[in-house]
Amino acid sequence: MSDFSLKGLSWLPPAPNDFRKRGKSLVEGEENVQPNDLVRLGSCAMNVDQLTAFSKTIKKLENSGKLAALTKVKVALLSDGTTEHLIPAIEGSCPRHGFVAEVYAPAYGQAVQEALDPESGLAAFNPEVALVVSDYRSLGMSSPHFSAESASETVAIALSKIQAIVRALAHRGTTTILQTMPAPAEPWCGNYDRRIDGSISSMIEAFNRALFELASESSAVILDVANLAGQIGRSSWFDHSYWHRAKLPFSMDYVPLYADHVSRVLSAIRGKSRKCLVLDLDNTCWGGVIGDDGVEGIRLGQGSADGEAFLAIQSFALDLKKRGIVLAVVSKNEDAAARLPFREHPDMLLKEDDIAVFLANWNDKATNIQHVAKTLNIGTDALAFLDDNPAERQRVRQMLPEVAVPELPDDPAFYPSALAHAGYFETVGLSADDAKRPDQYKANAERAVALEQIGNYDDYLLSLDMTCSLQQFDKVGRTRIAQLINKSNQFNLTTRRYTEAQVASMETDPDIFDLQVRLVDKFGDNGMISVLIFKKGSQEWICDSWLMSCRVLGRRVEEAALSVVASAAKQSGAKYLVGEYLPTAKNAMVANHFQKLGFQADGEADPVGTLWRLDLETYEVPTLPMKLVLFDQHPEPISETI
Amino acid sequence: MDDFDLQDSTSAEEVEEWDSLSHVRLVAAVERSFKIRFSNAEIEKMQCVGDLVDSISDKLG
Repeated sequence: MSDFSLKGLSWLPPAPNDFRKRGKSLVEGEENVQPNDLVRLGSCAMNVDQLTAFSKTIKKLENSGKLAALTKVKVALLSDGTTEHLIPAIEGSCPRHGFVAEVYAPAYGQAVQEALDPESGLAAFNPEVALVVSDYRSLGMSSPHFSAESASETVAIALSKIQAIVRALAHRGTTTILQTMPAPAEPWCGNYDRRIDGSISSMIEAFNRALFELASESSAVILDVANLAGQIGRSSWFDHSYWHRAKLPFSMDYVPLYADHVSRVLSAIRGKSRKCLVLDLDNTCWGGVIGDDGVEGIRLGQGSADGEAFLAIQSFALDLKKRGIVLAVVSKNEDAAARLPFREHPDMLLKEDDIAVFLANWNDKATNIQHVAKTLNIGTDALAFLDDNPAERQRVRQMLPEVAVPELPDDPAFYPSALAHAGYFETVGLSADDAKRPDQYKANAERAVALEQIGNYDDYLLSLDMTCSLQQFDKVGRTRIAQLINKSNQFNLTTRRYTEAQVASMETDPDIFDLQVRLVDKFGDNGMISVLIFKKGSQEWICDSWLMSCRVLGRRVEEAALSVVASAAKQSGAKYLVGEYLPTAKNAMVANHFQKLGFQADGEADPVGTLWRLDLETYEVPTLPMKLVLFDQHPEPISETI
Repeated sequence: MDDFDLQDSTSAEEVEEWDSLSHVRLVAAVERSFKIRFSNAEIEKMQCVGDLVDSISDKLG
């Protein structure tokens, strides 16, 4: 592959020639199908027909019960245009993002009615996420207006239709994705178009702006198709012939790209976006091989086109770090040689300080990549790996299909394009905590060194000068709370997922006691690291959710949190706290969580799991190696949303 | 349609899954593989598999 193409999903390897046969053999094989088998087969650039075939393969596997657990998301597609061809495309694109989707779409033209009708098929389907598709043709914007008043009236009517759907969905606790709409490419007054309110472009611009506001007000997520179509070129995005033929909203050529964008937004809602970019060094971060060419020989920096291209790659990696993506290095090199450019090359933008884990050795790259994940305490499915060498890429894909490994064009000038358009780091919200994360991972490494020096663990905890602050859910913490609820897998007692909209409703729910927990120590601010949700009863408070970031494992934060819950429960007159542990493939580390905290075993949970009970009468608050700060209400924002 | 006996005279009415949308998909797939493009008028004229085959031959000259 040499050229980069957005339409062809160039960052994915091409579909193998025997693609259909591989799908068939998964269905017909004797063995159970592991999630990674599906991820591996789905991680290629499929055309519409292949996506459709793949979605059938997934359905067959699900029906036969042969598919081992893979996260499933129920999605409704609400559109006035034809969507039937989009459904299998979306379903076929999800496995490459680590989950499967079941998509429901009301019959043609029934979207609004079904959204509003509590008896509809949509209500019965009960989706977790609904994608609300806007199209200028069905929203009455296919012709321009001469008067500004009638233009703004047209926009207002279109918006009120979307608002009605959003309100109806919010009542059901469904997370809404609002799709912006691109303007058709054909001008009306030519270069004057965007200066007159009544042109189609201006009306659509006003509509999209209002859609962003609506998204902020209603905690909805945006699928920015206007932007995507702009990346493609709107004259090629729209295919008027297909619109007349079958009301297809945009060209068939871009269905795979559109479907991948829907899938990546769904994966971000589910907290499955990547967290860390692992970089190869030779011919990826600079031109040439440092071990052979030396600091003077590698190509990097202004003055040569090649050298500038590698600078652009480093600069792109740093842009990702700015928004919270952790950077790591995995390189086949002597450690000293690999670090040389970081220390001595004047044009290097990346510094050793930017890299949370630096592995330069001669081990297999897949092994090193696993080591990166382990060191950072994240799953390998949270990693993306950038390497110019096709053989290394293939090897890593084979060993670790859950790691995102973009195909790269021959020209390194397009490496940032491949990485950017691949959409590995999609997000539905940014908080101040995100910007701090890369430094927190580095600080963790420093803490590990401090522990080695001090030796005694209790002394070490005391030496950290920890301050733990605990407070009820509020608007400021909302985005991060939802993020933690959806991302935490290991230290998570029940793995119940809640959307941002559901978290918002807990803020004022009198039957819920919730806590967001932050931890600061002398090495830095860990940000919000734990979330607890208890259901209040008169006699007992039941733990609905208890999760914590593994970054602060062993810091006794859970004991601090328990002491706050216990004292609040006692004050309200309750006698017991009830804990519930629901095992998953990933949360074995907390199987004995409640026992460690002094709870007594109290039988089995439904359907599988254990129940625990703490008698508040006999519970004693332990002495903790940290300062506790409690807020009833947030006095002022600790972290600002960016 | 793995084990299907396809004749020139086969039409959409005889095939259960051949509805209007799968017809659009079929035409799109043909357009993609032969790198040709039909007008909507041409598509509307097609009544059976033979018509489709003829249209393709016409386009390819």
